[in-house]
Amino acid sequence: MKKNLSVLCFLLLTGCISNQSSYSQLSDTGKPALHSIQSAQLKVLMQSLDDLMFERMLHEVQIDRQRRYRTQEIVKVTEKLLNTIEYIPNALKDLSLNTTEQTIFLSLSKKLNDQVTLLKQEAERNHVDAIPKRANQIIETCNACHNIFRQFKTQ
Amino acid sequence: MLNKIPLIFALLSLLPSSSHAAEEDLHKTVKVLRSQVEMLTARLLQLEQRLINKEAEAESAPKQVKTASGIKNTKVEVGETKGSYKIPGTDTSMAIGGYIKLDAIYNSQSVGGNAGSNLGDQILQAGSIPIQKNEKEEDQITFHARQSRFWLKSYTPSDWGDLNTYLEMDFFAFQAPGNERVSNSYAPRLRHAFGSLGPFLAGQTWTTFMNVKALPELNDFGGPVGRIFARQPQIRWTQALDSESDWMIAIESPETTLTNIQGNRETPDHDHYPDMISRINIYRPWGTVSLAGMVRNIQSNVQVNSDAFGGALSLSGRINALDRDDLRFMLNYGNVLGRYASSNLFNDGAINAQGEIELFNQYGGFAAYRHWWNNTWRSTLAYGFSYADNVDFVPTTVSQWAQSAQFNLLWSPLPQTTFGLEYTYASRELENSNSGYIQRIQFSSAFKF
Repeated sequence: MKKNLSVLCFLLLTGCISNQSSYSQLSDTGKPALHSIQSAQLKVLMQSLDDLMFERMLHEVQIDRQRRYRTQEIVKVTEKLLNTIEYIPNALKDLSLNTTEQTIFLSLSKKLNDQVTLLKQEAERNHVDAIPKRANQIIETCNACHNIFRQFKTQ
Repeated sequence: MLNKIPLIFALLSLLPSSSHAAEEDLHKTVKVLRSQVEMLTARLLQLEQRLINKEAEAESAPKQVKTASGIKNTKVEVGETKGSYKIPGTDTSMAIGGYIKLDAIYNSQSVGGNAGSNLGDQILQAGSIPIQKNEKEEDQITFHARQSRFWLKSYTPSDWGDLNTYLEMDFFAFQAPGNERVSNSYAPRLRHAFGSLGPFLAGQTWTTFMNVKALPELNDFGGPVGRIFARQPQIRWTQALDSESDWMIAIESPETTLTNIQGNRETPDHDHYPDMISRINIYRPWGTVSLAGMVRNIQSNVQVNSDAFGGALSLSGRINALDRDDLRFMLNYGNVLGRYASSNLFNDGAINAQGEIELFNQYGGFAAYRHWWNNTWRSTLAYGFSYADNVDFVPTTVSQWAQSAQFNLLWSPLPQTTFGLEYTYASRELENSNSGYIQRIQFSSAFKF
């Protein structure tokens, strides 16, 4: 009976394997831009922040230090990302867009800039709880822009 | 029928122009829809921008407000550590947390003892592995929630560096183990209680000789064999060398455990010098490595006053492997490892017939690999061992070496929740070559708060 119970537990656990992710995924919309690569770096850092939730032996003060170390890394990546975002409007000349489309493109670029600025501020203040939501928003903005405008370049 | 043929031709001739008209209509409709989508997108972006601006304003808004009575109150702010809040009017962030953990364990053989006090059935303790097979103790099941814990912490930035305080408790009080008969009333015990200001730490926490980051993720609370593991009161200084390394030096509470000539444990309360420990930590993108050294003065007053100085080294680390995987390891060697290694499987030294202390070499270690099957499922495979080169005058019934192997499958549907199943094999051999082993299957569920 005891052995059967163990087997049942094992089957219950192994039977539920799923491939979930708690983060938005950067959709494959063509050649990755530099800011997209930096967003991917952010995702890796976010993952390592999440992994700290599974530390059983480190006490909370040690975990906080690890979190601070990672948020400082996030600040560095966001600084790079902000520098790259400055050049996004330069892509307008390669896209034949009408006035409304240009407005949307520039609005999305500004939105990305604002979101990354907020992420940088949150990381600087070590507001760890706010970071995953903001990172997801950034990836959604990236995806929205790529989905709308990469088709123009390929047309 | 024949008179209808011209009519059919006439209709057919109309078809291309009708199809062309439909296509034009479709183009017009697409154009209208497209301009509507563009307008909607622009409007949506405007609204989102307003939301972002509001969030930014909220971030920089003054935190003080006036109430109707005119008294200034401060809003509760998010703290500067995860899940914390600032104490109003101060820079101190406070948080509480912990987890509730249930362990349901099947042991191929119980270590024996009264219900509730059989700690070796609840956590892997190499020294408790039964040597003689006892059929009466076979196939034992035990459940407990003693690993559940609670912590309270504060964080205050200051000109002197970060001011941290931390208190943590669980329910593994060895002195008051409770029992399983009616209410399983296990007493809480102190795990950590320390404060730190910048590089200075004072209080009870993990020994500086132990690299906590190297320990594997196991359901079992005691394994693997070969690990350094101790919490004790200490005074520690941590000096940052650069952004990727630091150096620690500490004096820690001494305690001596000795094997007498009957093979029993003596714990003389006669210590004169603190344990002196130093550790260097290197943090790199590929992982972390630590090297720790320790000097101890082992004291005895069992028959006569006697003492001996000894030392030990520990090399440990966590190396990033493929994707999210990692390899963790620890290697220890010295003649005073004693109570620091494998939950005091071996003593710090032995006392001979004249009551004088003799130290003996010990070594051990472990390696563990953690693999992520996907974002929520992971496994750890760990192997560890511990060996003592015992002195000749102790009886052959003392432990010579022990080993353990563990494999688990853990599932975290949420970051705060982990369910897992783990298999453990552990064995112990005495100087006289008698040996024993246990096998264990352990289901655990942990809920963090």
